[in-house]
Amino acid sequence: MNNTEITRQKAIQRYVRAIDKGDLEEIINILEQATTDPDLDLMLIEANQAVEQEEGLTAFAKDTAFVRQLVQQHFNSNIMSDEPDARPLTIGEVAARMQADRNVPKSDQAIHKTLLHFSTPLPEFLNIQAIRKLASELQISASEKFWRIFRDTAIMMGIGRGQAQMAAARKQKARKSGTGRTDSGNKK
Amino acid sequence: MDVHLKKRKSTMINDMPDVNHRKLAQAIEESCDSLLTGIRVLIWKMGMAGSEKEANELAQEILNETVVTALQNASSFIPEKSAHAWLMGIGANKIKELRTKEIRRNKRTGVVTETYQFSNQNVNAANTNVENLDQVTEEDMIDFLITKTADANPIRHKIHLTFDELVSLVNSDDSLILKLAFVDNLKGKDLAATLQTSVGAANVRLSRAISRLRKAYLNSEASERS
Repeated sequence: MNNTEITRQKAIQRYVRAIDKGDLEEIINILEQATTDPDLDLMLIEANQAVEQEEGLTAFAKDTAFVRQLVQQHFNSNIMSDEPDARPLTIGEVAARMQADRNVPKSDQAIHKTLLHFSTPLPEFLNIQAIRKLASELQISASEKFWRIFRDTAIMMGIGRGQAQMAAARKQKARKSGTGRTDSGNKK
Repeated sequence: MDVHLKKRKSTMINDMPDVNHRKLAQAIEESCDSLLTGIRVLIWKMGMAGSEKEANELAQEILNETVVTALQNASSFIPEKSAHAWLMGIGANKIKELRTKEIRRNKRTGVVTETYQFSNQNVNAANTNVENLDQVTEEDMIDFLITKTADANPIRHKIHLTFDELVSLVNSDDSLILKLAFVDNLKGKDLAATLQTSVGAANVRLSRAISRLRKAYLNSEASERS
């Protein structure tokens, strides 16, 4: 972080704290500081949007919650919250998991940051050849170690999703057959 | 924006003599949504509205007043500065005036509404906490996290733990975001992409993690001393 970024980080810190504590004086001071720093101003706008979402104040958040409630009432299920993600995994999602697991080789950190923003779906069968082909198509050069970790992470994430899908299918089947049996217990 | 305000605004814009003023009008148009969001958030977090509907109505009213005041003071607007921050500053001042008026009126009439009582209690509690916990500020904590190693740390005399010891004081979610931000140096879009959230949400989460880290550190220091 350079000095400007540190100053911004501290300003955001003060802003969020001031919002949480109801300190209007401090909020006004930070806004004054942001008049000469458009990047800080943008960060404040984004922080406001995040807090608005967090507090459930947005029309969007409200509508989503309402639609979810209606669907749950209609189907008498928690299908919306439990539905496993059926979309194919993307490069960005796997890269994000690698980062969260703190599994990125140091030498590949720069290229890894680029991958975070890729929404390209992964091939269905993930062997080393498929990964190499994908890397060459995307013109990305990273170490063998990186691609090995990438593949392993993707496979683990795929297994996780597969299990969730199977569990959901079992649940749906049970509901259809009217047994009312759920994964969390036997509801008779 | 209501019809009256639009009329007043267009009259004022027509009267505007120079480019500077037209730029302000344009900036107001562009910032309207983010201003409304910001004002609504402040009203809600200050405990000045009892329901979302009330918060929305009050926010709209304050936004209107903000725009009128901004246009009246157009000569002090500097186009090179960030318009949103300038306008939001006016809005925050309006909220402050409203809160002060309300508190005064309540004191005079002897009525303290639940909302204001709650909001004042929050502020008082917050101030007490800050007074008690002022040995290490959140800004100190950021400095420490940036420099990380104890040897290079200019506030070493204040924080007696290593980076790893320090982040082990908070839960795994907070610890993860602190490591991503200060060890892996991820920020903005990169941090948000890793956490699979928006940039704003990532920054807010990071800020809260730093606050909790500071509290956890001060608590651990206090219990060690006792």
